[in-house]
Amino acid sequence: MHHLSRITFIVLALVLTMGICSAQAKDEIRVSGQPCLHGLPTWWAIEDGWTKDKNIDLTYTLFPSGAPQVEALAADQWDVGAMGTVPTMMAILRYGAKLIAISNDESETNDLWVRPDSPILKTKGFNPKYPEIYGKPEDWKGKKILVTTVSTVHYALDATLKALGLTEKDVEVVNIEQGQAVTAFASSQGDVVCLWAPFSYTAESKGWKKVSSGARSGAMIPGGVVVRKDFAEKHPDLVVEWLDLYMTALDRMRTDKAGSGVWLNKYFAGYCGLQLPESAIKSEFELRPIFSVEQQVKALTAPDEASAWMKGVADFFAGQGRITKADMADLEKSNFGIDASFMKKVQEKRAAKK
Amino acid sequence: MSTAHASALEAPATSRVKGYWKEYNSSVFSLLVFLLIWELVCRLGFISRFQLVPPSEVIVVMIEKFWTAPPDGATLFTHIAASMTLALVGFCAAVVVGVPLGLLMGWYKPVMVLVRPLFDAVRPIPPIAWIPLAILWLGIGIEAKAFIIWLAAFVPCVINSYIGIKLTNPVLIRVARIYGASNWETFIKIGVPSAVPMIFTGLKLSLNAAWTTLVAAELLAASEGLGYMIQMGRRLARPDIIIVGMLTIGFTGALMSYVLTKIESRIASSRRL
Amino acid sequence: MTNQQLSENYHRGKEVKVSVTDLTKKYDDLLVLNDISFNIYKGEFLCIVGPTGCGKTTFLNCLSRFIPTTRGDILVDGQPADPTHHDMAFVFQEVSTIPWLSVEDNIRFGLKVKRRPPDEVERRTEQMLELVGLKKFRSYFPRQLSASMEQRVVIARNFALNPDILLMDEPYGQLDLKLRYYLEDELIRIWQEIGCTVLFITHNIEEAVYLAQRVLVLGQKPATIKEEIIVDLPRPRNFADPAFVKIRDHVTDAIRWW
Repeated sequence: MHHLSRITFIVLALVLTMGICSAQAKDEIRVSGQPCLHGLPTWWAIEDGWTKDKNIDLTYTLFPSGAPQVEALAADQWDVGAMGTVPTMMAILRYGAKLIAISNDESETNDLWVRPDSPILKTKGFNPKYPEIYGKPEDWKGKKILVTTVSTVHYALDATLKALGLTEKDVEVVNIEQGQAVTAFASSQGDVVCLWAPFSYTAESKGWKKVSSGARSGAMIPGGVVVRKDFAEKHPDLVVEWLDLYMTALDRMRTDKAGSGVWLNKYFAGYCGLQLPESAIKSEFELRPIFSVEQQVKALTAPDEASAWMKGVADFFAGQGRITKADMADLEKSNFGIDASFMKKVQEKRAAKK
Repeated sequence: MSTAHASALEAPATSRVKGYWKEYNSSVFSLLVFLLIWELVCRLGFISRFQLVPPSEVIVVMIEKFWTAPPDGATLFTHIAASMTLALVGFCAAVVVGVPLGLLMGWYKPVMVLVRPLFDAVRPIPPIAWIPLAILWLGIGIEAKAFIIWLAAFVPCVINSYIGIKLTNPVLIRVARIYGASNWETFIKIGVPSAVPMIFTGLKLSLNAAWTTLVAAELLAASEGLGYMIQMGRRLARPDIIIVGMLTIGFTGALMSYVLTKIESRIASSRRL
Repeated sequence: MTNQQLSENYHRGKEVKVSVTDLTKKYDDLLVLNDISFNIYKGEFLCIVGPTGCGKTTFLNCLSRFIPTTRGDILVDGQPADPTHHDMAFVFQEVSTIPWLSVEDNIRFGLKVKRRPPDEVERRTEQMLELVGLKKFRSYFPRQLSASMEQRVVIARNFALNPDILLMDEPYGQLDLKLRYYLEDELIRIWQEIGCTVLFITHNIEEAVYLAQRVLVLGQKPATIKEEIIVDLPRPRNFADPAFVKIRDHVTDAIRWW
């Protein structure tokens, strides 16, 4: 009897130790994201068990918006994550984060909307260089515009006004958060409302009409994928591992829109508590171009792509006095935090596998 | 036998001033110690540079903000003026509605029975939760934001006025009634004046509530104001701006409370015990 | 003269100010006041004495219409007593100065509630300030005054109305002896000056005999008027005077007998 129990004890202890050891053998990568298209990849990877046979362990934390996500980065709460262009820029500028990929091209889903009876809809393509923008300058002058300032959609608004030869001084800008903006516009407040996905899909369902966007006004808005400075320096291999998974998801989102749509819906409705109609899910894939690994490497290295896009946004902020001249110089010096090395390694890894 | 017993109101002037100075000096001293510790903690690296900005930098930014607009688009003066206007509008509306309501509730049972259930239901709802409804009913201008502030500020007005009038000395009520005063006249001549000290306590609490709800109210939609400035500081990852905003809110709030206390001592000086 | 003759002489030819008939007060089953009937004459100083807890305060509350009577009539000048039509005044046991009003505003208070014309209000206020000797303290507030000064303010406020009836409920109970003697003299002086009708309730027999023209003795619950004693002594009265002592003892006996 005693022998049996002793043996059982030893066996159990061994199993437990092995378990702990194997658990410790897995490297942990803390990922952050938002209830947004670019938050899908990591959540998908975790849910679908993509790391089962790998030696990395992913944890995912959801943030309602960019500001708390950046604050958490400053407090070393996460290692890699996807964010909008503005928080990406802040993370790079203030905390030395690195921009290692473009999550998606959000230029078309940072858009401006009016109600069906707006006079702006009467004209289209006033400026032939921007044929998809509605309204004559007189139609836009003096209008009350609801916009979340210091954001990508503010950048899109600025580009739209420039295309019509106007400045912010010609209109009345009201700073308001996205959720409030939809409520306010629905209550007949304001003449134009500036939204980004998924709020822009609500606009569509309410019968509002799109009159401009980042894409239509020549403002390129790249979503950023970012790594914490320390983590990049200490665990570059882990960054590459995770980036590979992220790109796997992006590839599927690019090539299998229908299948990915199912997963996006699960992410939004099941995890984020966000209900979107079918049409909105479809639009997410149709309106937001996603880059392949090759396209990523090109974008991150070519001087007229990622660098230029980030510069456009930075110039806008510098022009409004949101960042100082010193900040601007810092950004240019670091090439806007762009680091293509990790994407290149992913490229090599995939080439080697073939 | 008829010697007057007028009590000595205050201690001799010199010792009073000395005492005041001592108090003032110790407050200033403790404040300076606090700032020193804060500065050292940052400079010596106990807390990462990213998480806390030293007071020396904050003060520089604060002074700059007094006349420069970037990065939030307006000077500190503009923000203070905008926020103060908003808070005072909400506060005054709260006083105008809350104080008479509390007094009437405390004096007339039918009013109490009618209003109490509604009041108890509305009271625990945080003002921030009203933002969507405020937008629907009042738009996105100062009316809607003042409404959010009003919701926070009117509760102390009602409660303190109610308690104040409930504590009316019953003997004084009888004094008025025996002279033939009606219930209404007794309410006005005895109940209301009797509640004044409590009303003032309520006003101070109310002003405090109005001021602390400022940030929430400006979340509704704002292009100016201290809450707006803090929001911008957040979006631009500028904790120094955030701290400047917070300190300004704290300082301005304290200033307004001081002014209110001074007004109280003018009006209610006869009751200072 | 016998007590009987004294009594008859007293009541002859006097004008009735307040007439109380069959006053009864019952709280559920507890009978507190039982069929009390008596008259108060115009300008009279009447004291009611009785053992503690016999219902003196209930009695006063009924008279001042603060609580309703179970049965009985209280008439002032032939009409049912009503604070809005008659000028009634009450001096409570507790201090009843209005804390947020100055001395002179306190005195004005009753006159203002009664809507007296402004010149009358001022005239009477000045008169009372002079009478109670508080002219120097007219703009002081009650918290700055001593307890006895406060009571003088209350007296002044009430006498200023020259009320149909001034009810006083043990007003000097809280004060020390010296002060009490002083205020009693004050009270008599002012009453003689103004000449209004006073009903003074006390459990202090000496005080009652010192102040009253007539003393009514109230019995234990259920209270009735046990005896009426005329105090026909000249003023100022002397506690040591044998005549005073005789009446005092008479009253004491009347109370003790139950």
